Amino acid sequence: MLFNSIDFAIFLPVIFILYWFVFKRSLKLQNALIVIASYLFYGWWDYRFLSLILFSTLIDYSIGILLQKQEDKRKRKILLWSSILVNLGLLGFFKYYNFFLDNFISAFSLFGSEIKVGSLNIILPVGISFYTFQTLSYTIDVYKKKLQPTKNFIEFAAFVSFFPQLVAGPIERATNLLPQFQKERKFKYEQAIDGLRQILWGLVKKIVIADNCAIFANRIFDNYTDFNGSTLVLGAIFFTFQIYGDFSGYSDIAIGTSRLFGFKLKQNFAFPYFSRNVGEFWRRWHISLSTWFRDYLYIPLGGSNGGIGKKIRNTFLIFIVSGFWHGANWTFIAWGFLNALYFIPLLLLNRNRTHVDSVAKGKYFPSISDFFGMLTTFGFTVFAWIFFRSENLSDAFKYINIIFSKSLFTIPEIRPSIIIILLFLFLIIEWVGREQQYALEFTKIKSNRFIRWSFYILLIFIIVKFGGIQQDFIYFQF
Amino acid sequence: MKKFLIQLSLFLTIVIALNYIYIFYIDNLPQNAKSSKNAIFIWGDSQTCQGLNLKMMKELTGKYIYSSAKHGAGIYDFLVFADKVPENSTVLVAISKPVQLRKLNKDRNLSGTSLFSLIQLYENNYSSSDIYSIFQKNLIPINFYEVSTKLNPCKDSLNYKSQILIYKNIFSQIPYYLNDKQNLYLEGIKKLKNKKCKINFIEFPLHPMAIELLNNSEVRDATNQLNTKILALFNNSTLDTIPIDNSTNIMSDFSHLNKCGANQITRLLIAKLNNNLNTTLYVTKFDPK
Repeated sequence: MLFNSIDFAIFLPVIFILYWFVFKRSLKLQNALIVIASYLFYGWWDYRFLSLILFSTLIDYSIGILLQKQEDKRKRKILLWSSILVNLGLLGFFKYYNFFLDNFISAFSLFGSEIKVGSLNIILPVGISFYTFQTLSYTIDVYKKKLQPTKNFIEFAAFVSFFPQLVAGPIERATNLLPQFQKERKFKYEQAIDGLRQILWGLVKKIVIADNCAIFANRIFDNYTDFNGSTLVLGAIFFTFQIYGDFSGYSDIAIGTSRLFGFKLKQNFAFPYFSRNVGEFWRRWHISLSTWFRDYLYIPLGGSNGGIGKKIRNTFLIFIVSGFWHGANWTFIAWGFLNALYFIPLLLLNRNRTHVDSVAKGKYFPSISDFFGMLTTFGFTVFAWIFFRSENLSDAFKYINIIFSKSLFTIPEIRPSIIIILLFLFLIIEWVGREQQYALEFTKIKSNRFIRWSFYILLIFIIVKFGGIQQDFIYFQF
Repeated sequence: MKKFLIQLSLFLTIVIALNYIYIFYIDNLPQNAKSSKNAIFIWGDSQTCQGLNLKMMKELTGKYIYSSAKHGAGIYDFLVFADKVPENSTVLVAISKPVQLRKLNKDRNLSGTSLFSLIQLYENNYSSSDIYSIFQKNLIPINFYEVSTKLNPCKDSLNYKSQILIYKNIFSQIPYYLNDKQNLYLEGIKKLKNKKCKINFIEFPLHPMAIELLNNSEVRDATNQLNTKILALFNNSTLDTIPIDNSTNIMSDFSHLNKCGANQITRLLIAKLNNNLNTTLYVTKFDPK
C-alpha cells in the first residue's frame, strides 16, 4: 500500500479509530491490531511474501529466547550466526542471486569458459532490506546483552512488521522501538498534531518535489545522448531532489504516522543538502542505515582506530557495502566507492567530525565559507548520484562524458520553470526549518492558528495543483 | 482526543469547502467553455500538444480554441472529453498510433472524475484494479482545457539514436489490448457524433525513420484499421492529405513536431478546415517534392 494512495487514506483512519477507541484499554490488543494492520498493509502489495516476514520473525524471536537461556559462548555465537545466515541468506537470494550468477558467468567467460546457467525470475520482496536489518539489530543486541529478549511473540511481530516503517524504514533499533511496544501508550494531542504536520510535509516532499523531479530526471537519464551537457547537469540535479524528496518524504510520513499511534521513531534525514562537507552529509543522510552500518559493521571492524591502512580499509568497506545494500548493480557499488573517496581525505585530516551543529545556527544566512562548503558538498553529491541513477556503469561514464564537453556551456534544452520555482520555495522552507526535526515543525513556533492553518492549506493546494504523476517510492526497490 | 478530533474535523471541513470553491472556480474559467459557439475543441496527446500552434489557430480562424490535448493522454481522457464537449461543437481529434499502442498503465488518464467514462472502461475489459487506479488519481480537480501550449524550438538536426530503440520497441508487436482501446475510441467518437458535433480528425506525421520502422511491422495494419473504422461511422466522410514541406527539419523527435512544423501544419490545416463541411480525416504526409 502506498502512503500517497486513496487506500492508505482509508486504511489509516480506520486503524486509528480501532486503535484508540476500540482497543484503547488493552496493550496486547493494540499490539495485535498493529500486527494485523501491518500484515494487511504489506499484503496489499503481495500477500505471498508475508510468509517471509513471518519466517524471519519466528527465527529471530526464537533465537532471541535461546540466546537468553544460553551462557556458553560458542553456542551463543552459533545462534547469532544462524540468525545472520538465515536473514542475510534470504536477502542474498532474493536480492543478489542473479547479480552474482551473472557476474560469475561473465568472470568465467573472460577465461574462455562458457557456463550455461539460466538466471531465475526472482521478484524482490518490498522492504526486505529494511526489515532484515531491523531484525538483525535485535539479535545482535540480544547477543551483546544490550537488550533483554522479549518473550511476547506479538510484541516482537509488531516490532518487526510495524507498518509505518516496514517497507522503507527508518530502520529502527530494537533498543528504541521494542520497549515502546511493551509499555502503555497514551494519546497526546501535541504529538498527534505534530504527526499530522510531519505527514503533510512528507506528502509535499513526495508528491510535489519527488514526483515532479522524476518526470524530468527520467526523461533526461533515459535519453541522455539526445541532450547537451547543461541539460544533463540539470537532470542530475533533478534526480538529487527526486531521491531526497522521495525517501525523506517517506520517512516523514512514516515518522508522522507512528506519532499518531503514540510511537516515536528516530529522525532519518536531517537536511543533508545543507551539509558543509561529506562527513556531515553522511551524518544527515539515511541516518538509520548509516548508524546501523557504523554500529554493526564499522565499529566491530575496528572503526577509525588503528593505522591509516585499517582506517582506509574500513571506510571503503562500509561505503561499498552501503552502496551494495541499495541494489544488485555495479552502479550502486561505484556510488559507494565514490563516497568513500570523498570521505577518506576528511578522515585522514581528522575533519570528519566537524560541523556537528546545524549550519548557521540561530542566523538567517550562512557565512561565506559555510555557503561554499554547502555548494561543493552538494556538487559532489550530485555527481555521485549520476552513478546511482544510471542503468549501468557504461551509461554513467557516457553521461559524465557529455557533461564535461563543450555543450556544458550552452543553455539547457529543458527548462521547467514551475518546478524550478517549486524547488526554490521548498529549499527556503527547508532552510527556515533546518534546526527542527523536520522543516514544517518551525510553524508551531511563533505563529498563530490562522497563519499556521493558512500555510497548511496552501501546501495542500500546492500538492493538488502541482503534484506530479504518482510514482512508486524509489526505496521500495531496496 | 476530543480536542484533536474537533480540530481535525474543522480543518478538513475548511479544506473540503475550499476544494469545492476551487472546483467551482475552475469550472467557470473562461477557457472551460460550456458553449459551443464560435469555438473549436481539440483532443489529442503530446503529438497534438506539439503539433498545433493554438494562438495561430485562434488568429487564423477567429474562433476560441480549447485544447484538452495532454502529454500521454489516454482513452479515459478521450471519453471524458467526449462527455464534456458541448453539443453542436466543432471538434478536432488526433488518435495517433503511439496513443493506440501505449501500455494501459502508461496512459495519462487524468481528466477529473467521470462515472460515464469509468463504466465505459469496465464494459471494455479494463480490469477493476485499472479502473480503481484511474478513479483514484482523478479525485482531484484539474484544469481541463488549455488555450496555449509551449512548442519545441526549431532545430536543424535531430539526434535519433535513442529514438530508434524506443520506436522499435513500440512497434515490435500488436498489444493484446489494441482492439479494446480502438473500440473505446470508437465509442467516444459515437458519443461526439450523437452530440451532433462537427468532427474532424488529424494524423500528425512521424519521422521518416519511424515510418520505416512502422511499415516493416505488423502494427501498421492493426493501427491503420482504426482510421477505416472511424470513417465508416459517418455517411459523408472523406480522407484528405496534408502535404508537408520537409526541406527544413520540422521534427523535434520521432513523433513530435517542433515549432516550425507546428506552424506549418496549423496553417495548412486551417486552410482546409475553412473550406470543408464534411467529416474528414486529415493525414499529414511529407511532400515528396
